[in-house]
Amino acid sequence: MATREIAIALFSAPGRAQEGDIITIRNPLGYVGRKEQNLFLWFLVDDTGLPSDEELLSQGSLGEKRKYKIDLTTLKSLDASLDLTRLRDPLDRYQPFLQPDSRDGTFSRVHTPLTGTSIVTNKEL
Amino acid sequence: MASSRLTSLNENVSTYGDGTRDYTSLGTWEAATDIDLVTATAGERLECYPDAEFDDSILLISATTSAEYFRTITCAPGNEPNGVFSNGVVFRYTGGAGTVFNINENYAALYDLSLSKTGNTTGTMFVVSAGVTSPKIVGVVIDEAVNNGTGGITGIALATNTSGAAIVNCGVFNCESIGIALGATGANNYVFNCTAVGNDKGFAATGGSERSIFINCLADNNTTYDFGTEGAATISPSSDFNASSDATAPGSSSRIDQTFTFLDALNGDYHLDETDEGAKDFGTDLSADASYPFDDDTDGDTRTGDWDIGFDEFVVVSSGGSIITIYRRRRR
Repeated sequence: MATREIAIALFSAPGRAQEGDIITIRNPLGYVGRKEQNLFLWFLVDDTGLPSDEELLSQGSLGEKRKYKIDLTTLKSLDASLDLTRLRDPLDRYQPFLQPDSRDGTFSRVHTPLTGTSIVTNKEL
Repeated sequence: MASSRLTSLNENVSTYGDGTRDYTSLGTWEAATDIDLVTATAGERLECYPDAEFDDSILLISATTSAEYFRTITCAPGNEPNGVFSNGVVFRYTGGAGTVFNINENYAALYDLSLSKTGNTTGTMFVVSAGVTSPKIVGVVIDEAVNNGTGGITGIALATNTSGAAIVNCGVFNCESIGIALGATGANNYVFNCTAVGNDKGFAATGGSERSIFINCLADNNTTYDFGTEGAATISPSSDFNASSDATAPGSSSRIDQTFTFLDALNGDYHLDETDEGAKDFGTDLSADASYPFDDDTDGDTRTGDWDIGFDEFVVVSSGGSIITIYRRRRR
């Protein structure tokens, strides 16, 4: 098992990123930037069994920005307290899994990594 | 003065680095600024700070851009590598077989960063790749690109559909495969005033017939060849004023079998030494070039007099009646 930090898009733009698209996956840095706190949802995953980073961040075969996504409704099913309205508010820095400190972006709360294989979806299957 | 670092009109500037910056991921900046920049009449610029060495990569794609409005990734002011890898903001990507900076967006610009990659794959990897119209890669320093698998790794590679690319004032060192490879088949691409040292192959045309134009490029001590071609590709006859340590520099005014004297090659500083007799003052003036005019060097210094070959212009300036020799600006 390896714990990774992941960010998914909380917005949709025609022909570009769609809500839930996996935008980045990386070894945990323990912080996020100021402009990354309202347009993306950050959380930890156990990447056991997941495709490679290149595959997870690859384009769809029809030119979609990403081939893989994690549905917000799937996350909601794992954590009933998740407020989807707040997540979708582009002005709300709501980060229910990892709460960044406004001064330096470091996470003040860490959660048990979510199981990647149970939440990641290949949009082409 | 014509800077080789072209800027978009009306740039929105964001910062990259640790949690005190706007972004900690190239991918999130890319997604957040992936818009119709032409309609917005604005460009997007990401300025990177040396808060750490970054293990990150990016696929730059799908924003609507133009020659006036485009996306730029560069260092924060004052953090330029100035030709020396260790001086810059370092991206040392270790993830899988992917490309560090994959530029798939017209007019995109990549300036003044230090890039490296290690990986393990049977295929070919790239530190920077581009496959679009008019990408600009300027002042970038690439060093120690290593594929621990059976495949190779190239520093900067242009795909077959690239056109009008400008690779200027870049240094590419110690890549396991080719330093700079131009594979475009349908349009001209330009490599001006770049330096390639210690790669397997320095500068290569890997595709197209006479589409790869090398001018004022310096290649030294590249194992297989300094300048060459792969497969049926050919170098443009417009290539000239290059210099090589072997007999391969293309162009009637180019210099072959040269010995170059660098300031501190052992420590990765390939600025020309004052005593150099291989490249200093043997280049041609590109300040009025029809495709990509500029008159600065990798340090941002203005090129004057007889241009030097390679990414560095040896500069001597007078100050207060005395002569001061400017070698380079090293911070660390």
